[in-house]
Amino acid sequence: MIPDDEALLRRCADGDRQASAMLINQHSPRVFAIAQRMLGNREDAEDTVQDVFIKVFRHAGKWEAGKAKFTTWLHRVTVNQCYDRLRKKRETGMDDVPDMADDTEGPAAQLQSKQIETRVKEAIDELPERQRAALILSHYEGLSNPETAEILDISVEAVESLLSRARRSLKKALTGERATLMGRME
Amino acid sequence: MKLEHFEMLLDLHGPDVSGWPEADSIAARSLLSTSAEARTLLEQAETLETMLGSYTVAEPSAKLEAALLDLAPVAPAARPAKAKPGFFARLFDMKVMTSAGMALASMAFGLYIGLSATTPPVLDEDADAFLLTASASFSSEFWQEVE
Repeated sequence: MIPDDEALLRRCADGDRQASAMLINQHSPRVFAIAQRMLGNREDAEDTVQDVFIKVFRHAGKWEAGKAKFTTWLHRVTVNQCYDRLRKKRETGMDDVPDMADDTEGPAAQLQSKQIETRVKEAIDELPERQRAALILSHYEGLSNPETAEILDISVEAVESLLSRARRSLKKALTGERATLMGRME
Repeated sequence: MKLEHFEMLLDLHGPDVSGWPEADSIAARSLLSTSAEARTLLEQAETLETMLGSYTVAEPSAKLEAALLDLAPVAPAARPAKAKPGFFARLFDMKVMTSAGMALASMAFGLYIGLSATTPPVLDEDADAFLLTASASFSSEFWQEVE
């Protein structure tokens, strides 16, 4: 049986390496996935995951059971760290270093899928930060609108508005690719 | 349900009509059964969903997981014990302490000598004369000012 997050946090605070490894194993994939999609590059996402876990371990001993859900807090910290990193990048005028595209030659359909994936990534990167965060939490992480609202500290209605606008923008941005894909499926 | 409302709901909830709020879901199904445009909108939304699903991300590498574990708190017993200072280290510490003490004592002695040298010796007669003058000048006006 996997211990719950609160029990793991208590053990982490006491220096239990096994508990820390379990906590990392359970939560780092999700934190890393959110950071990659929010920041659009792997290197920044890795740094962000480390920043998030520094906070997790710093707060492990102070965690108050029953006050808040650990995963909600973790998602909020992750999204805020991503916002911070994006803001710093804007302030310093640093451009993103895009991940290298996989240039492996393959069958035409495979290559086309890769191109579509790249376009989807670009279209998501172009979304305003809050729309991107709402889409990532809701669509990719499968969180409910009330959960997303709690993480983003906004109302459920605001989440719905962000999601609608995000989907509309993506639909517009990916018109060409959508036609290609629909043609392929026919 | 009008087509515009259906499109708005597609943007809001995505193309899984069965997961929509019940009333909207029933109305949407009814519209889909009669409107080819509604079916095209649904198909477009489904394609968008498929496209979004194509955007995959990497799992954390073993290197990243190891780096994260290095950030974890360490139990006091697992912390490397502080090495006991060797003989020379202790000697150095003693030397430092002794030097500091000696420097402090020298400063105090120097200060004492300096002050002694600058203060003129006071003869008994001079002291008596000074006290006499001082007591004479202690008028009641002076004390009123002080108070």
